[in-house]
Amino acid sequence: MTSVGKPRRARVDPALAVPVVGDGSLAQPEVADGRFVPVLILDTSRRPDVAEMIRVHGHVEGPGDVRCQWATMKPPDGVALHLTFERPVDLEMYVPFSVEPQAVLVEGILRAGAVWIQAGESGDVPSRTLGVPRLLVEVPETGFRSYWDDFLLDQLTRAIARDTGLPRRKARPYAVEVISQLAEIAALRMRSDGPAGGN
Amino acid sequence: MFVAVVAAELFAEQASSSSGNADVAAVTAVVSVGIAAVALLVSMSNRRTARRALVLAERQEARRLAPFGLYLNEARRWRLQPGGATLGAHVRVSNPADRGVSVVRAELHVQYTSPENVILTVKVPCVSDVGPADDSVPVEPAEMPLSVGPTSARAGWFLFRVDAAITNSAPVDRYDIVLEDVEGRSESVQIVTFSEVLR
Repeated sequence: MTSVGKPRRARVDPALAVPVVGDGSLAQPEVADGRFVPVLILDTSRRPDVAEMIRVHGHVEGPGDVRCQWATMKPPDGVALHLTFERPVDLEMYVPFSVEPQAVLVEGILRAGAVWIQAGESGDVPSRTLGVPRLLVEVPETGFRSYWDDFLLDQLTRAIARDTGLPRRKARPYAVEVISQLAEIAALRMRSDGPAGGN
Repeated sequence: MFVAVVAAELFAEQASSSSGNADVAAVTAVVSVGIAAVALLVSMSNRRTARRALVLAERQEARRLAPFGLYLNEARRWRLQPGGATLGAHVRVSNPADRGVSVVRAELHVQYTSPENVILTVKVPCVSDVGPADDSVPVEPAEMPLSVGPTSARAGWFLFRVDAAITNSAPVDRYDIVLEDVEGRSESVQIVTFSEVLR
């Protein structure tokens, strides 16, 4: 389901958060037209229902249903992907992302229109957890792209200005360059004559 | 009625200010009041009639929008292959409304408690065909969508393939069959007992 409209404020229960403790990417010709799809390894120690839902999904015929909603978070240093699963299990969760270290993940999800999620713990990487149940979630365009572009540029400009001591107007071109490189990485896709994967 | 009373008063004033017969003015005033009283009675009667018409209209609307009903005739379980079973429910769908209903989704809700004490309800979709793995299931699944005409009923088998790995060997707490119509209304009935059919 897509939702395009004016952004609105909402309170979300912090207990619904499932943080990312590891990541990677996976490319398959039949998924996202061969684009590298980010793999998020989620800390489900406080949300065992999420791990159970991912496991169960592999044993139920047919695809499930999920509603996706992007959000920026206050304090304004991150974004979140809010997922409301409806089938085969009713479950609500959101995945928070910090812009500076995890912008490439958000960019990858937006470009691929999908994300893999799996349960795990800190230190896990997809290449060493191939046998762990993994769930592909389609994340369609919801109108978030335009907000993300402006938000990312603003956050990176602030970060570069803070770290280098440059005034913001001089830090901005560097932020634009960083975003350009992120976009190039996120736009990679496998060739049609072979598998590829990376962590 | 208010206008009739005011007109009667004005007419009575005019009649009293003229140099004509005082008796005529008095009769006119009495007649005017009488007309006003009759108008009041008529409006009160109309109000009662309108309220009864509203009640009838609300009953008609409720009959038009009446939800469909479910009745579980029988439930069976065919254990056909190791680690799995086909569960079937013979359900009668009754439609008391004045317009037809179309059942577009049938699910078996399987509720269980995982070893991590997570209570999960898995929605297993119904199968539309009996495949090679179910060749010993001697019933035809109901054709979906299932259309039920106005003030009518239909019955049929709804079949669900349930992999034992869904619950990860945890015992099932509850089974419910849930049907949903094209308007998103859903009705459910719990399945307490399955007749075991041995191959």
